[in-house]
Amino acid sequence: MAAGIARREVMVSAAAAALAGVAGRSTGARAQQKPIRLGLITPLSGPQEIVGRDHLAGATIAVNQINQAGGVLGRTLELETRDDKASPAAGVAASKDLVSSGVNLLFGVLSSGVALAIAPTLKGDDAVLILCAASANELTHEQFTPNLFRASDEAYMRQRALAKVVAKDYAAINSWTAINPQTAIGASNWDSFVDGLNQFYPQEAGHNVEVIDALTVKYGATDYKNEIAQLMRRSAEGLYLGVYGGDAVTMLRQAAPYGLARKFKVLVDPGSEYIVAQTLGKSTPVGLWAGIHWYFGAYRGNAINDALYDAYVKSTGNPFPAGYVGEGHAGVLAYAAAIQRAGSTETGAVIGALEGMSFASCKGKRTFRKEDHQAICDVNMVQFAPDDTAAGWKIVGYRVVDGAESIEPPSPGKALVLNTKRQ
Amino acid sequence: MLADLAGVVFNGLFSAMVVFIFASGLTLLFGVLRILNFSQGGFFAVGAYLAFSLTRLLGPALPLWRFLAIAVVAGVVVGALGIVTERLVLRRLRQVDGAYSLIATYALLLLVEGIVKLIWGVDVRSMEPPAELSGVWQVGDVFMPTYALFILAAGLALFVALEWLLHHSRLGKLMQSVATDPWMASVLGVDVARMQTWIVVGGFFLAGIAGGLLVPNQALSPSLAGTFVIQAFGALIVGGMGSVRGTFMAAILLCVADSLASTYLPGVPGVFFYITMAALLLLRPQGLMRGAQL
Repeated sequence: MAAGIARREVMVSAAAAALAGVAGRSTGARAQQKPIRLGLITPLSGPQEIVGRDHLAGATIAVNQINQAGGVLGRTLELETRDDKASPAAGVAASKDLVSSGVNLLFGVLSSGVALAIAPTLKGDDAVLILCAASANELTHEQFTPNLFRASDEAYMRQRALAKVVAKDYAAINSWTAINPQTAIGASNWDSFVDGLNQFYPQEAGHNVEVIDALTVKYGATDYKNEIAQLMRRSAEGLYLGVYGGDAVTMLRQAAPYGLARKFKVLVDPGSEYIVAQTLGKSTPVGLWAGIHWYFGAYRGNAINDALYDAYVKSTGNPFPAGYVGEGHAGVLAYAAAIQRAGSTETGAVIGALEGMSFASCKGKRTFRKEDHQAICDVNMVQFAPDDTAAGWKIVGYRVVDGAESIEPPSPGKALVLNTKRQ
Repeated sequence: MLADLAGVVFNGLFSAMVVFIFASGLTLLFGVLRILNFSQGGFFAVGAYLAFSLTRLLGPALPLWRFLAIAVVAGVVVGALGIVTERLVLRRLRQVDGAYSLIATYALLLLVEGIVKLIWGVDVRSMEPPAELSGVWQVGDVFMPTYALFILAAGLALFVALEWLLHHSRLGKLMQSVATDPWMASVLGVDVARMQTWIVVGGFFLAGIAGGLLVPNQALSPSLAGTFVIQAFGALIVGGMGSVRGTFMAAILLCVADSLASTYLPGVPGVFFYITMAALLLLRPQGLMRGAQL
């Protein structure tokens, strides 16, 4: 079995350099066959458009690479893209539209709300969806459906991996608090992080850690001064910055006069990737850690990583591809490997192929668990600091945590039980 | 506890001035022209992005005078856009039902958002305040960022200026006459069309200068256009639909109540703004300042 997986990995890994491994038919034969259509569902308008564009960029690069290498089963891949606006209703409409157009292999989806809305429709529509960012734990637990897979990390795995890193690197810290958006995923992320603190501080630092209740703010809030003042009065030494993206930028900008970043010994931003550093530049908090779906610098020498990075920089000129680029890319690679394995694009056959399948991606091997369809994959973190370059910031460190060390045992259909006990 | 309360009220007053600065142009347009300009947020965003770009263009140093000058330039440019908007859109809406103007200006908001996206992209951006406004005053346990004090002063100054303009100047009296009865004003020799154009320019100028002044407070993204619209409309409605004085008072009541609730009832952040709004409208369905001119 291991040898079989290794062979498949080698095939797809080779495809990364030139993605030739999944090819195998002549150009003449390909010309006679219809392309395999993959449906990308992602926000291409609205506040999350920036992430949707990253998904699309990664997926487009993967499709081009595979097609240039000969396609899959002798057929080219074709991308059908729909805008979900990060809205559940628009997401379901996008999914239905793709299915009615004859596209049964779907991937993408940033928002957990969108994923939770689409998931119940997949079985009836005879479609399969590979999530490439949506991280709600429920999707592989109480809302599990056999037609749904997740190639990216889930909230539990990522947040606990972050907790593991801080427990090891900041062992002297005795107390943590947080500021979180009032969203389901915001609460779920924080609870998962606390679960990790409760497990890893005793293991890595040899002591328990105090958890001070999180502050909750409205998603998209325009003013954080009351919360900043409260944080300034707290005794906590570590701050979990659950507000995301532009909200995190607004909050940190408003917090600068208070000296918030200097008060805490470490700040952890679980999901803004480069957004905070790129936006704040020289005002970036020293030592800010951020969770990221894929950090290219951690995988130099990995053929898929290097090919994706080069293609992205060549097409955009941006030397810092967001992690979502890697996730969009991985979604296509997962389907390419599954179709190759199944020898078919039929929903049932592809689901069968995906279950337990390992495939190589820009951040190394990912394996879909047969039981709950969650991929075991690396969790990446990067650390920032301001500097004197024109950009005003630099990466001063990164961590790669094996997801197997922080993931829970599979329990599809059952709610995840978290240890959120305050020490 | 008292220090907490003072800090919370201070933060509420700051938010109120932010909302008032944003809503002042909206109030002026509705007060005189009876147009609910949903696109105000879009032009606010244009002002903010213009200020951001001009600041970048002029180099890393940002003294206070340059920050203020850039905000005025942003206001003037957006005011000029007001002339175009008035000619192409708003002028055609004067004789139609308010619902049509709401839909038309919402479409305009989407258009402006799209143009902002085309020019500045979708990346999140941010700008520091000038060095003079980057500090904080601490009185006991109360933190008062100098930028927040500046915005408080700016909001108050804007209110006083609008009050003087509307109630103590000849121009203000002419504007009031156009707002009350445009036909009678025209009979008495007022060039109503020209006056209405200048009021639109004024309203747009206020949107632009609000963008320039508030840009260090918010992350810039294409969704900035919608950031303050709901709060501003809340202040406009509670204030009595078109009264500068009412909008000012409503902004203070709503934002201070919201600030208190966000601290002492933290489980429901952001909700209390709307609860207070509903309560005030139940108490005074006509708004705080119904009957008052502008």
